[in-house]
Amino acid sequence: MGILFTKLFSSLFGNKEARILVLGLDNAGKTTILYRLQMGEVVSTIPTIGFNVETVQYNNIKFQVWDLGGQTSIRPYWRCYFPNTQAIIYVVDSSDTDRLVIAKEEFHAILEEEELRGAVVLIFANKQDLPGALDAAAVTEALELHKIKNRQWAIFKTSATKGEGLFEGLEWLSNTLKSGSG
Amino acid sequence: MLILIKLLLIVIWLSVVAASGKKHVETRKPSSNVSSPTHGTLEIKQIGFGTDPISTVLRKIPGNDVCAECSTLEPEWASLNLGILLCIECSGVHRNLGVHISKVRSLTLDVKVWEPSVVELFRLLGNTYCNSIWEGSLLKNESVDESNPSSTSITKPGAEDAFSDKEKYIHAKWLDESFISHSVMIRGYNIIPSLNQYVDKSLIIRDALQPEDSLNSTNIWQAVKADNIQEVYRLIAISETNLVNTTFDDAVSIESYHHADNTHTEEKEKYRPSACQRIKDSNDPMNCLQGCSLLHLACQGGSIVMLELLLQFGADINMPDFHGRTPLHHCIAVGNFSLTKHLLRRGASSSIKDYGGFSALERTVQKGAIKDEELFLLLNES
Repeated sequence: MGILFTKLFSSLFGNKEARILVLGLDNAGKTTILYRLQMGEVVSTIPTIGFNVETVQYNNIKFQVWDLGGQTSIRPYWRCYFPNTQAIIYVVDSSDTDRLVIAKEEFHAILEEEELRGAVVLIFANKQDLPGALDAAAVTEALELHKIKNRQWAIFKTSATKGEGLFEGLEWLSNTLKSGSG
Repeated sequence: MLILIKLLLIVIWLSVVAASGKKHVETRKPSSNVSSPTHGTLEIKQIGFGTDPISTVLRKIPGNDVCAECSTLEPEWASLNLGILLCIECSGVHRNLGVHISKVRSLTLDVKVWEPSVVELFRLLGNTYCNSIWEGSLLKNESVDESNPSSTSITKPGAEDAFSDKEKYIHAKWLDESFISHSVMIRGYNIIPSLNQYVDKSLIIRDALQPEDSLNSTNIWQAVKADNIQEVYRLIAISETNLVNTTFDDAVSIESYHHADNTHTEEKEKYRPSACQRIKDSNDPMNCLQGCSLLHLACQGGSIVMLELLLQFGADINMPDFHGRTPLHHCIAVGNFSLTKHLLRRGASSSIKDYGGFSALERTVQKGAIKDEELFLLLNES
């Protein structure tokens, strides 16, 4: 509690701070990514009913990362967290090819949201370590990323359990946020 | 800043309550206390299936009152393809196995997946039956696979056991398949039918001394034909090879089966359905099974639950038969439009042409005007 307060207090006067939402279908790997970024380890996770929030310091930016549960009937509540968000990390299970259509629909619905108009978008094509995982080009096509207009975006191949690709993505995010108005 | 976060939490909490007042929503503040805002929980009791909630319906199936792995009461999660119910902890471990092994969904939070065909599939399986296969050697005190040292020391965990014990057990059960029963005796009767029992006498069934893989192919073909869900599930589980895309050609000897019309000189001509002597002679487009998969067979039989089982295990939804006809073409040929719609909703492509040059949409139109608007829209969309 004390530490948290100190962190938040100093953030007002010290480093730049960014509010990030981690979204994606259930079991995309959002919570594993959050804790891999925050603690550098793979934690045992159970489905998130609600949210987790942690602060991740990277490149002089304090990222306040919100990981929201992805089950069908809790997705409508994502919008409660949209205001004042600088970036979305959208996580996809690249091996779950059956549900890429749903992942695409949810993704484009988010982009339509007025409150997220200014947010940059980082896509993680996660679970690259699993058999049958699609590569970044195939996920780009499946999510129809070429339809994104007036917004900065990037896609990275990741494996949260192996720790691959995550910090490359965060690097892009910090550079993009520093150079932008956010 | 802290005040801001607190405020946000309250706003979220209020909006959740407001947005879902009619859905019997209960919200719960973070389990520790609200001044430590690193986690938030949300509990939703959704409206059910018919008059009962879906969880009540599914928990009545034998063995489903407890988690299939650790026996925790009132499981709220499920593995869609494995047909079992799980507690939230074990569902977490299942999710990490990858969707090629287990597809985890919530009984209360994933509303759309619990279609009648999926519920019926679960009703025909259930924790007791599924575990009789996946934990068969434990149940019968058979010696476990001793070549796998990890399996000998592992026992089935209980609800109170540590997460790591549950994880170890689930990995041994599903990744190493350590406890699977390869014995043919299930529930006191010999489940592999004697080879002559179901056999279509016009087919030349392979020798009974054939290797296990092709025996399994023959058996799974017969089990799909007999619409025996439990047996198909068991065969997929015990087979060393992936049986779900087994074809008629794998299941029976077809050396003298296909009588293509040799009067056509062009190579592609002989694949046309209209050039097939079997189809011509019988005037039945379904009389030729060459190249057909289990999914084609299930479509002909009209069993939506069998279709569901095969799709859950990754059956190729667009596989062409000898004449280039997909399972969708077969559904249309037999005039089963409800099954056609089900396949389309599951992602079947209606634009693939058979070797006669017609897509599923065109074949439907040939049969007469499409009066079913939903069918027409689905055929046009996919």
